[in-house]
Amino acid sequence: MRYLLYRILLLLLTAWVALTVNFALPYLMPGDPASVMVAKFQGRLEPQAIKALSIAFGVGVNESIFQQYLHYWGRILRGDFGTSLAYYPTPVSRVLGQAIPWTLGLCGTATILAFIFGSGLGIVSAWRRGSRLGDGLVPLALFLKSMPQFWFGLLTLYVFGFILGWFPLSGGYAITSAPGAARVLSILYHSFLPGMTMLITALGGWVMTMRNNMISILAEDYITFAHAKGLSTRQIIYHYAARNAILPSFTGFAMALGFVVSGAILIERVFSYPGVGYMLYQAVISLDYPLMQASFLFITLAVLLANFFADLTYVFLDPRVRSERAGS
Amino acid sequence: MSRSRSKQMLKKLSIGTVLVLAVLSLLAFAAFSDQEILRGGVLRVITNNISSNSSNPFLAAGQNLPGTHSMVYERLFYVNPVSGDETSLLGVSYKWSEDNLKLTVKTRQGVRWSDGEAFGAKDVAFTFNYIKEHPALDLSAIWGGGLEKVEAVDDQTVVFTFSAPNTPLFTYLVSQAIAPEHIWAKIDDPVTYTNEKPVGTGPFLLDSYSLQQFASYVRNPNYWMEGRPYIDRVNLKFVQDNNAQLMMMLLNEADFTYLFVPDVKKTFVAHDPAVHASYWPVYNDNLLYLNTAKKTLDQVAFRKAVAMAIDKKAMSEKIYYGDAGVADPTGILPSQLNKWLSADLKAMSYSYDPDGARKVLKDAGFSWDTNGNLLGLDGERLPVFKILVGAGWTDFIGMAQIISKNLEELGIKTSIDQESWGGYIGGLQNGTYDMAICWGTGDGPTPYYFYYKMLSPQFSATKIGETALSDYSRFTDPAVTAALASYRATSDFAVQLDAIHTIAQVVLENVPFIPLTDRPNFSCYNTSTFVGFASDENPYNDGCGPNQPGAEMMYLNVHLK
Repeated sequence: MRYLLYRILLLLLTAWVALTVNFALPYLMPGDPASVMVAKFQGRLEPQAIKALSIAFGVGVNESIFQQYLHYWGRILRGDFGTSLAYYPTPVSRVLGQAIPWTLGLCGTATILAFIFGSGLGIVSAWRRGSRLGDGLVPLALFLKSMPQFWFGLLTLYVFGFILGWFPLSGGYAITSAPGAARVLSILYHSFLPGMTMLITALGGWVMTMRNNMISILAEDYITFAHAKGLSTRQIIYHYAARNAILPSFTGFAMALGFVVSGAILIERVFSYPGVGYMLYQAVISLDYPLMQASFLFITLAVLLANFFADLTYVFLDPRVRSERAGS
Repeated sequence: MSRSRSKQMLKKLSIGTVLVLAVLSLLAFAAFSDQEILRGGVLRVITNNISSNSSNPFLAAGQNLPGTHSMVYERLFYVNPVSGDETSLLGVSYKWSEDNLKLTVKTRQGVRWSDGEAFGAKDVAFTFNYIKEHPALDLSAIWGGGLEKVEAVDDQTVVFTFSAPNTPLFTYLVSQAIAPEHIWAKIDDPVTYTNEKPVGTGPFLLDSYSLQQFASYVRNPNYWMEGRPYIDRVNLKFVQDNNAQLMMMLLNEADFTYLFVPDVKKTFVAHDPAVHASYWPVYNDNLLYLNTAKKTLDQVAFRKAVAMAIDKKAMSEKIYYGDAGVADPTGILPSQLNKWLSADLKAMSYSYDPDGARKVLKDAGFSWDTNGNLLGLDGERLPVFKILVGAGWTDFIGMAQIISKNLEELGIKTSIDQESWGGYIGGLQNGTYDMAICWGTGDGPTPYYFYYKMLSPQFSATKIGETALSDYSRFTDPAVTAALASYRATSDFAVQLDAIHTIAQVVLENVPFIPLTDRPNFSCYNTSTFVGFASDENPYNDGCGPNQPGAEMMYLNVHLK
């Protein structure tokens, strides 16, 4: 119980610090949004439009920084994130609301599948170390891990989308697909290449982590004891070794899930996938303070919450944590 | 032959002749009729302009869904910036009064808004007065330029009254999107109103939209132009990545896009020359701005020497693969040179001449030290001049590198300063830069629009730190200011030509900025399914992007093959 309270308190404190930093960050960037908007159109807008847009965007507000900070907290608690400047005049909550499902779907699925497959391959690699399969997986995993995501994305897009024409070159779904089953299929079809790219580039990390954890556990005495006792290989691997090996990975996995909300910006750009990543890029380029703040807010909160739940789950997964706390 | 047989033959012959004549006449009719244009089809367009679900005609094209200014809302006339031609849309004719203080425009009869209400001159007057009421909507500075009153004198006539003549304002007046009074009069805050169910007079209606993905427009069955548009629907797909756009065009998955393709003739057109085409007309320049408020850069001889030392042809070939030519030293666009550049000015012009540059510096009193570095007029070593460009803009960076190398040979040291948007535009407007590469801040159907923005005192500033809205070089000249005023006050071509002559001469003699290369639009299209796009042979628009007013011409002209 004390452990739980302690974690909750820590969560709230970290959240407060993160949100304060979140508030301050956009103001540290140079330039003001109205000039950026005018410049974006490269001379097509009249320069007096800066004045007009400044009025429209409410830039140059006459409040002190502290007043703005208080207003910021008021708005956060009410759920009002303001009006986006890059997607003017759409409210930020709507902009994010439409992008998040795509990102969660694509990146969330890819991350979970990468963790499952990667850890599975890591287990195989560790158990069969010394054989060709086990040791061959190591350089392969390292190669996949160090491959730049966007480069791999461009490659798959070019080969499978352009040369072979097996998959679409862009988008979340086809406009010509009828709503319903056809639309769902279209979505799956369009998400295959970006999802595959994310999966493959994330795989390597999990393989190596799992393999290393497994190898250190397999050297433990109780594994030798289990062998001696006559337990089957399958039982040893899955009931004892893997279950212990996965604990350190789990924290990393929780963090990775938290970061899913930030979207894979490069992947989304290469495949023109309508997610949060590209939205965030637009926000930064256009100095869209409201959208930037809201995006950072969600990312921060998501990571904090994911971490919090990982800590909680750790209590259930690892009895040593429970007993340590009870003992002290 | 027997008599009956010859009679039969004659009968056959006459029937045959009649048949042949009938067929021939049908063919003739077909050749001259509209029958041969196939109707229908869905035009597929790619755009990288992601916007929100806003169809507000008072906001700029880039802030709205792509079809807002090009398909749903129309203007009085479409002025083609490249050729200067005027196409009549909601306005059918116009006339300036003798003193150029009154502009009378006749509006089109029989036009209906897409909700069924009739369109009239009152909507035009309302639109302009609405902008006056809400200054945040005045993106073209219409009400700052001497316009005093706009009123509809009857159902088909609008009169614009000026307090001071300003004939070039015409382009901005007739390019303003017209909104329906019966809807917008009820809206209190037009700046934030997204107008998700737009009512316009244009050839298409907004059908569906998905954030960051598509916008789809369907044909307006009650459009005022007889028989147009030919196509049924336009689907615009949002694709952010340039490479993905290019690949889709190569595979003919889309019919039109606005995309800078490096070496477009080889990369895109040559892939399938029968159907792939590009139309890249020049509408502006890329220039090297010189901050005339700074030491040494305030010397005419120095600026002249820099201008003569730069190899612009190398830029055109290496950076733009020859797709953008060398700009004229006056800054006048290639399509406007014939009309506006007098022969005597050509003699005053300068070209790539590094030895001549050295001579100009020597004659002005500059000298070099033993290492070949240029010394200032006071004999001191010159500072390293920074060339400002946008971060990651490979074409500007490439140009800056060529300039750097050219100036090195003259003994002038430079460094390239890459800044993100805010810092780049801030540096230009606040005058903290030394030299900068940027586009021209004004463009239009005549050189006036360019010179107005680049040299007018109200857009300039003298102290570094003060904002110069568009005269980044901070150069003004009383002769130029007077010439701009005399151009504004007249619609007489001879007077205007004289004014431009004066300004161009000052530019050539003082070199406040150095035009480097042309700056074209980048329309690319394929004719596998649809034909009728604008091209060099048929330049009915300026090759602009699918969300600009000029694109309306394209949507009206394309049809199935």
